[in-house]
Amino acid sequence: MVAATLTEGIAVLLLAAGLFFILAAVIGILRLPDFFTRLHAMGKCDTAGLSLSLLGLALLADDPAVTVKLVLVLALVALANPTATHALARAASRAGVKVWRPGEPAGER
Amino acid sequence: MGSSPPPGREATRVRRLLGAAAFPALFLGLVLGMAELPEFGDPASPASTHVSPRFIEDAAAETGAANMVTAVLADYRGYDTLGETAVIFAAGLGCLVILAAAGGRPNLPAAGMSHPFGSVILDAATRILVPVVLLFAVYVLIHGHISPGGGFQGGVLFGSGLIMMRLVWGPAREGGGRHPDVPAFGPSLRGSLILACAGILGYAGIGLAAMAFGGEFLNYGTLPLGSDPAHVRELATLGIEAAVFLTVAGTVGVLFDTISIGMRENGVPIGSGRGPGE
Repeated sequence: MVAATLTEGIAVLLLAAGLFFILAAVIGILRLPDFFTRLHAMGKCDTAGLSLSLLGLALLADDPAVTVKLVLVLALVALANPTATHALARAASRAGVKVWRPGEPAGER
Repeated sequence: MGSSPPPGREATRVRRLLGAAAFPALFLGLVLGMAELPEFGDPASPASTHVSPRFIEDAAAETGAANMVTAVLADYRGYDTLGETAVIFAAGLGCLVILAAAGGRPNLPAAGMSHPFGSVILDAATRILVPVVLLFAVYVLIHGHISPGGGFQGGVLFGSGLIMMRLVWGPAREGGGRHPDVPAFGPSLRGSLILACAGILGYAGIGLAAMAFGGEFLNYGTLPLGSDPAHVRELATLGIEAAVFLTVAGTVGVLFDTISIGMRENGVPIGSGRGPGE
């Protein structure tokens, strides 16, 4: 019983931390001034938020098969999300998207 | 299409008149036919009282497919799905004709992206991701028997894996291989076309094989694959789904390659520029 409660407590902490990072990503996308900074917020915080949430859910899952699947999804997200962010930033840089400098007005949304 | 000489003025007028006469007749016929259809979602319609209960009660025992959607799609209505697969194939061919051949350069081996877009990070990640995506596509195909999935979904996933390779590693060279460091893998545009053709021919071939063994077209029960009819149908359904898989995956590859030729010829740089700091 104690062990189960401890697991649940850790899972809730992980989920809360995951939600915090996802919230930070949302605020970043809404508030940051240009494509690259917004991508930076999304790429980092989404990956962290999703990974932590998935870890929490993996702890809570009753079926070991579900836990294994969630861990596999976690590995895929951890690999694919930063790579996609990198590809987007690279494509934008090659296409000549302007980088924001302090003092300039925010770029187009 | 387009191979006949341009018709004379008189022929064009006759054709237009025929079209003008045929359109209202066809339209009226369809409207009259629709009036005879049962109300949409009517629980007393023949489809609801006879067809659906039959599928729900007997599908698993008759076809060996726990996923009823697969049983209906690939077995009871296999003829319908053959048509759908042909439509997807035709869409790919249409794209090829309009985008590649209309440019006057239907140069199949050289089609696709002109340069690899890849960087070290993309290359490393793609090496890990592509095999996983391709394997998962096959899993979705086979798992279609007992869960959502099947040939269409798996084929799209497989095609996406092929597109990922194209995007990162550039075009397939005719001799195989696309980047000096990357092993040769994945079909060229011609290969994608052959995949798509093989799928649709395989589908029709399974149907014809059923006829050869004394059944109706696409009625797989007669195929000599075992003694249990449900198991025979299960195997044949997997064959059908695999054929759909090939057609969809090949068509996705054809679409990507022809669209990227169209973009290249219109001056849109695809992975050809050099970004700052490189």
